[in-house]
Amino acid sequence: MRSAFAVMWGAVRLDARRAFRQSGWAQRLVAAAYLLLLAAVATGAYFMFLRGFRILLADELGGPVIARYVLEASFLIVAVLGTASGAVTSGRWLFLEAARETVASLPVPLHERFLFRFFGLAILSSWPVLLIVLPALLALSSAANAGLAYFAFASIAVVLLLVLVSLLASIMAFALAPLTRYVPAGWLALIEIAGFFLAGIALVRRVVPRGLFQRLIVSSSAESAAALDYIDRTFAWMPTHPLARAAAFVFGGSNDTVIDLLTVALLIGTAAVLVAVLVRLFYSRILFAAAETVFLAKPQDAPARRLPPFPRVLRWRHGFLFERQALEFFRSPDDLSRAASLVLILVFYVFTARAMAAMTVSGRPELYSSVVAFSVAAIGYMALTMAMRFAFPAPLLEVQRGWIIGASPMHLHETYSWQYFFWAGGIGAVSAAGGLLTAWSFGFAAPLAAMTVLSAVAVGMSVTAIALGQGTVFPARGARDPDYASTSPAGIAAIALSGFYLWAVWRYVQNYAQVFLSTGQVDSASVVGVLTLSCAIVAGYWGWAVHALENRSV
Amino acid sequence: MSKPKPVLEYDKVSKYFNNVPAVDGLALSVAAGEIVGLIGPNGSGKTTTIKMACGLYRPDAGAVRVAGLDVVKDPTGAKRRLAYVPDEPVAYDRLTGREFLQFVGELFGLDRGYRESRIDALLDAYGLRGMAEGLYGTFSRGTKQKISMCAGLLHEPDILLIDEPMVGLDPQSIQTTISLLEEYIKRGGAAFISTHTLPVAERLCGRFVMLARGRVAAAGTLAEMRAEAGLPRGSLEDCYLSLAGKL
Ligand SMILES: Nc1ncnc2c1ncn2[C@@H]1O[C@H](COP(=O)(O)OP(=O)(O)O)[C@@H](O)[C@H]1O
Ligand SMILES: [Mg+2]
Repeated sequence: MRSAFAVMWGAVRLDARRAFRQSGWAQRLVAAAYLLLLAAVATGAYFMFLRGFRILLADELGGPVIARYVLEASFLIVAVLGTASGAVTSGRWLFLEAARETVASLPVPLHERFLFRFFGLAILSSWPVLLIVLPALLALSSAANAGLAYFAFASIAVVLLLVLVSLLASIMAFALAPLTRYVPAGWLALIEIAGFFLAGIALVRRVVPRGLFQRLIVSSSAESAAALDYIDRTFAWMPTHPLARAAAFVFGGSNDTVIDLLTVALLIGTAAVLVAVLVRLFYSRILFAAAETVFLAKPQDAPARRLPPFPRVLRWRHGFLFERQALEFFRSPDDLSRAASLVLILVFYVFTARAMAAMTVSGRPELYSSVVAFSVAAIGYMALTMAMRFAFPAPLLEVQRGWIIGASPMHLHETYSWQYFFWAGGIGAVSAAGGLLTAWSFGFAAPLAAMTVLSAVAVGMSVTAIALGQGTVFPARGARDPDYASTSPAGIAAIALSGFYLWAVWRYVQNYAQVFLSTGQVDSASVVGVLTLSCAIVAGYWGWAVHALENRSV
Repeated sequence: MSKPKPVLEYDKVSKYFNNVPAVDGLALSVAAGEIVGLIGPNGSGKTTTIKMACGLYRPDAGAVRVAGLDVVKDPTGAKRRLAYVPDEPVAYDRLTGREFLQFVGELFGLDRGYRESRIDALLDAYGLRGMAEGLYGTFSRGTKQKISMCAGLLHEPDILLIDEPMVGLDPQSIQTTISLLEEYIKRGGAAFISTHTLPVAERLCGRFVMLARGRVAAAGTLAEMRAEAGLPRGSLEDCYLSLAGKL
């Protein structure tokens, strides 16, 4: 008889092969581009780290300090990102999907099913490790000519980090599971998002305080020891601390490497035992509960509690169109967990922005203005990701249900407008938050902060207009899954157009920042440029989409 | 005696898909107080005919008028007076059944108090009051069909256009649907119903229009259909089969 693992692995391979065969050329193109992008990011990170570590290692005194800090910070941020993205997906992955899989009805031992899911979880949350920690360790190893031994150590460290992250994510999933009884899935996801966001910001504040780099720049061995002590104190209670300290042993400073590694092993062992106990005690019970939830079991025609009349909040003229969108969004665990992972990227972005701000000297306007423009473009990229995931596929769902509004006396431009307000409101709010956090991280003067927030909002609204407009004019009829809708030709066109738009905004913001930093003047031409371009896009797509809707057959 | 003014009127309407006519020069009308049955083989153009009256498809030639208003020229005026029940009851899966009905009430601008009493009455007719609090996506096909029927009757339209109302319904629900329709007709409504359930159509409809390849193949009361088919005692089904065989 084949082992249970072989059966489960075979099912995964079958799914993957089917997905590949059913995908169109555009989807494969995007998948290939995505992989290439990931490889490029990892390679870029490697060379960035390599350059940095080479310079650092040349400096006997300050090098070890900064390198230790980089290792500590990158391990920690990776662990937090991995744990958070793991925790957001782990409920689905460990419980819901496990309850749905075919082997659920086969005589496969429960712990094997959990282990299989656990490996999947490790792979799902491995992206920050592969993009940050692996390049950093490889770069450190080549910069220090540390040889094969260090390479072996790096591989072990990466695996240990992954295991640690997956264990923490699993523990969080088990801790949150009982709450799903009392809190609706939508609210739980919202609470998780808010919690991770606040925790992430708090962590960034602790790890990258203002004036950090003054503390880390040292000129005597006493100062160096004090700085190392400061780093030790900052990261003392983080689970990644011993691993980062062990990774810094190429600098020869510490004799405690063995102790550090033992600490890591002890930590992982404890977490593993805890998870094993949790699985033993609760996994079966949670799987049954998951199998009986409304969205999996679809108990047909089951009666439910009566709610107050709809629309409950937006009771004015066309508020009900808006409220329906909101209800559908907040009742979809899929959409919410996706939004949660995008908010995590926002936290990561803030970390990067703060680290950049700490290192950038504001005395050089041409360099500093590029950093400002880059921040706005990064917010635009985040907004685009959200718009392509949520706004772009939304009109397709409307086509399938188009008879409801189509055969009613509602003007079609009103339905488009409300859809636009809904998505542009949400995405614009996240972009505004991004702009505010950027201004806060860099400590911008008011005129620069105002331009940053204004451009961030304009970018969020315009990118949403492009995505929603393209989705309305060319609904991706072939795509059933909103995760893949953006890989249709119309979706690729939307991404390309947004790219051009973001490039133009980049130029305007850079110009504005440079003028402001070198002369203290407000460059109103750039402000007008951003506003005109954005308004033109929003209005143009509004007209085009409404025209398309009025000539549509449902 | 003057003929009653039609609430639904097709004036030489044609619709082409890829240059192939789906509906070809269709002329017919439905007056207040009557139910007209639209019958014909699969692909004969029934759904296309009905969707053109709802403003979901745009006719390539001719005009469709609802209560005298051209559906293309005055879409909102015309749509205020009609209701449509589709063949596939796809709606918002994450709204409850009741929320969906309330949403439809909002679309037609119903007073909220009146809306609630209508919804309760319609749900009670099908015995769906408790069930309608569940999410639409969890309903069986039959329940979805019944809910969309309630949505169609909600604002008491001048004309009700229904595509395949009986598919997926249990016998008791078919009976309920028939009585709901008869009540609505008694209050002055009119209905245009596409259906394959011929025994029900025979009981319900006063007149029939049989389509074949987008054209009217036969039309009239049951007696006139019998004469056309040459079956003086035949059921509607017998007439249909005989006429379809001659096409
Ligand atoms: N949206 C469409 N695009 C292309 N062809 C269509 C479309 N809708 C209907 N047709 C074609 O029009 C003809 C009539 O279809 P339909 O009105 O659905 O018939 P029925 O409802 O009587 O089965 C069929 O040949 C069908 O293939
Ligand atoms: Mg049909």
